[in-house]
Amino acid sequence: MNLIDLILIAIYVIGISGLIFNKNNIINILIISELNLGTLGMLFVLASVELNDILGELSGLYILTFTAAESAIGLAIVVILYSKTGIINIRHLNKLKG
Amino acid sequence: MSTLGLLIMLLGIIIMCTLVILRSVNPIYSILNLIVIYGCYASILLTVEMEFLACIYILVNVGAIAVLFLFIVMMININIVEIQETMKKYNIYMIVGIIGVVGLLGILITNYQIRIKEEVIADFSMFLINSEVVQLQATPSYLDFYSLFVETTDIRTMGSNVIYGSYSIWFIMACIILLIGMVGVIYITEDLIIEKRTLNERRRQDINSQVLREYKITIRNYRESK
Repeated sequence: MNLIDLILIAIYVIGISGLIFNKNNIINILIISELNLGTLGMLFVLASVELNDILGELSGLYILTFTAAESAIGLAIVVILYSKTGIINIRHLNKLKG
Repeated sequence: MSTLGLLIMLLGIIIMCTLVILRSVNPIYSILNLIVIYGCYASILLTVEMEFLACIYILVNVGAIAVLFLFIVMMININIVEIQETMKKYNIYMIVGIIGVVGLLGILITNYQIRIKEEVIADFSMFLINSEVVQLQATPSYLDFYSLFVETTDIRTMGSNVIYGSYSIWFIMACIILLIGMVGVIYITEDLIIEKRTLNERRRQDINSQVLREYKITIRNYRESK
């Protein structure tokens, strides 16, 4: 276990705690989830450097596509929520109803 | 300055920016910090000699996703009562700036001085009479073209062996994921578009009137009509 991997895991834990404690803004939650996926990709890439295996780099690229699709769909949901309720709060998310 | 020290410095900047994102109320600040974080990730990838992924990280995350978030922030009125702005907000940036300046000075002092001793003095040795310096002649440096042909870069291995080679199924799966994301976004926001079009019916497409348009009727000279 490298020191840098440990620090990256610490960043991931901080991000997940942010997902738990942030209860107001949906855009902030989307940004934090994106950051978490970015740190996961960095962990894969650095592990690939350590193990001299290129598959980790490929999985880093794969995670990047996940983040792009996830943020696009989440922001579309935010736009619908704003146009229907006028408030971006995660507690009003049940007003969409399908 | 070793590479491990530089990596730890960049990771410290990343930790500070994540803490700022967690505490910030306004999403614009968190977007700007996200951009800083991805710059740090790209520089970490550059120290590990993965140039392709570093370019992709900056292109995708800063060029596409951060701009997407900024569009959404522009579209939506975010009424947030800002907490009193004090100078405490900028303390973190000051710490980061001080660390960066100290690191750059360290690099300049350690690395650059050694190079001046070995190479630069040897280049200017013809102007000096001191015998000790004249003996320290520069070794001939030339470009090794053979190594340029043989060496495998990051992009070449990714392209020839991995993405379009033995693991091409993963590439196709990523394409399908992006397609599903695009179609899903259009499907979700379809109702909004249809509602807007029914509200003002002028915008509805009428093919008959489009085809029957003539040049003489539609486009008029301004002076003639006057």
